[in-house]
Amino acid sequence: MLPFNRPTLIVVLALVAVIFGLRQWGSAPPEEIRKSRILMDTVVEITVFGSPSLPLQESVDAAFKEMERIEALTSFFEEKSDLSRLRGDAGFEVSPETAAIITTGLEIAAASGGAFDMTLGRLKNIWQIEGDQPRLPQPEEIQEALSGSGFGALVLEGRRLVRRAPETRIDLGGIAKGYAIDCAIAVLKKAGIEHAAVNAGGDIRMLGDRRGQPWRIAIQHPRQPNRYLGRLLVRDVAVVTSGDYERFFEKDGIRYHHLFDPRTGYPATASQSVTVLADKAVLADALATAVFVLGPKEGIALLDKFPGTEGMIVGADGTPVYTPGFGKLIEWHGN
Amino acid sequence: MTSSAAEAVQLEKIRREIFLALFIALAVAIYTVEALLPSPVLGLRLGFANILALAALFLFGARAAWTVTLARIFIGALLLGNLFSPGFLLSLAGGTAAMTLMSAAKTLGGRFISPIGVSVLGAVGHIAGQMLVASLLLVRHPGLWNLGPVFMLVAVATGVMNGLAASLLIETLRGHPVFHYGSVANADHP
Amino acid sequence: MAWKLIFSRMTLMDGVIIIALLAGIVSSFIYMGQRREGSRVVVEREGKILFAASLDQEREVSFSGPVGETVLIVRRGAAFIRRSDCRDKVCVRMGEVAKVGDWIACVPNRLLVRVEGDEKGDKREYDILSR
Repeated sequence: MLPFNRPTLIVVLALVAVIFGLRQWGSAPPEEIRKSRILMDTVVEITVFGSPSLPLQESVDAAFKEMERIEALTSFFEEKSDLSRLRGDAGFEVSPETAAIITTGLEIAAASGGAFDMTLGRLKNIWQIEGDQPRLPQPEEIQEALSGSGFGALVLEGRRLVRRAPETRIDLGGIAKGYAIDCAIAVLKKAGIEHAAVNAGGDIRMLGDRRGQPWRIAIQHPRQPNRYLGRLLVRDVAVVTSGDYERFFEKDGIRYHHLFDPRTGYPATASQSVTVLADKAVLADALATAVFVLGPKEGIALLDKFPGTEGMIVGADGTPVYTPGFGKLIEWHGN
Repeated sequence: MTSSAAEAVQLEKIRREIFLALFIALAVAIYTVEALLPSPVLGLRLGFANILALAALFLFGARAAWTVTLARIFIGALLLGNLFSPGFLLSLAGGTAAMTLMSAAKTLGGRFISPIGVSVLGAVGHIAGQMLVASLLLVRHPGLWNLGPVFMLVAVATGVMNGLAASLLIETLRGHPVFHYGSVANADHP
Repeated sequence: MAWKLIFSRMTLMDGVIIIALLAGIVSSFIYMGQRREGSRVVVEREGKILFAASLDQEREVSFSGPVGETVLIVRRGAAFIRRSDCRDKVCVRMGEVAKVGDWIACVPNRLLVRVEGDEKGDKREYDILSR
């Protein structure tokens, strides 16, 4: 007799149906939505987890909208942005958002002794590293482009932004992206979302954890594109990495990248890459740029001035140096 | 009724010219309408215009068929306003490749090959010519060739269909009184 | 009946030609069927990589271009264009791509979506890459 006579078969089928049904019903999994868009010259990806009763789709769209708004306010090229209006006037009332970015920026500029500088607009313009046709300018050109930049060239009086010299050109490249990430997170939080990550081309801020698990953030190896140095197990934090491999061109064997040393007008040479953790992406973004310019030793000293921040610097020789707190969060990648 | 040999040759020539003109006109009309219809898959057409080229090939020979095809492509381009555009170049490449294969098949195969076989070869040649030019000029991506087999399969199917239509058309025309009146021969004209 | 009509008008040589062509097509289908499932989707514009992501993760990506927005969906190991502001919607009709070497082009918006295989057993051991 076959084991599968009719009643047995029915029981087995019913059992299978019940098991599958229970699985479907029992663990109505929180929905995961992941959307990407090209914003601020990079791919911005927003991931949210949450119960399907939350307005997940709408919130992600609203977060992108918010980032677009910040981009329009801070982009040098947008006709109506605060910054392009500043090209003409000596002093100018800026939006609260621009004021907030510049306040943080000035604070880090002061703490880093000018290693972070928001007045490199003219210098970046002559190098064109982030444009289609980067070039190596003449030394005199660079000296000329540095005039009107530097610590103290920019003052914020309330919401009134004042330049000391008329030739000063502002560039918020090293900080606006972080601020926009923070704004996107704020929008998601306000919508009641508790688990999210905003990733703007590798500059990341996380909201909460990844459904009970920490987020696993891999850190790019600065010299081997397909490898990562290690991964951080973190939650509720911003992680920003700045490296000389992101945007650069090579000429006569020398790599010219997008992170300038404001003291020389040339790309900074002390580091290969820097990763900074902070509660806000705007802080992590600006600090990463400053620490990159300062290099391993002074960089760690700068991070020590900001409680709650951690970081790692891969020096020009490829050796990583990091804060004790960073050491506790990272799992190094084998081989 | 009798007619002199000279008259018969004259008649044959006129008949041939009238029919070629008709074939070209029909081919252009079909080609233009097909080009205006939305294509279900990019670039895939049914190629009904080739029925006329096939009829010309079997009734009047290779030169006549080339005339029908090239005239169809150029006049069609003038009507569609896409002369020397990428679409026109694709048509020209497809038409040339198809005609080369078809006239070669007819010459080599003689009476062992029917309009259906010639039509299938023409359809396949059309796709091959188009893909070659597309890969050289337009798409420049190796992934294009991945679509080849699908296109070829469609080409074989439309080729059989058009071949059947051509075969019926040729038979009808050969059986038609016009083709017998004062006729010298009704097949392969030198 | 239709078949009978076709066969009655075919010669032996016609049959040989058609069978040879069909055999070629079938074997190239078999050859192509052996291509590996892809692991990554890459989106390019004029040779520059705009976006790259694993095919395993579900996501929606929008690209803006000369004629408007093009929305790419990645789902269950395959990628397809959900909507595009272009006129012909050829990219939308090209359907899903999943195998190594497969591609979708959206010419008006200058986008090329293609599927790549992984270099070597690249297991995802992280959620996001900071770079």
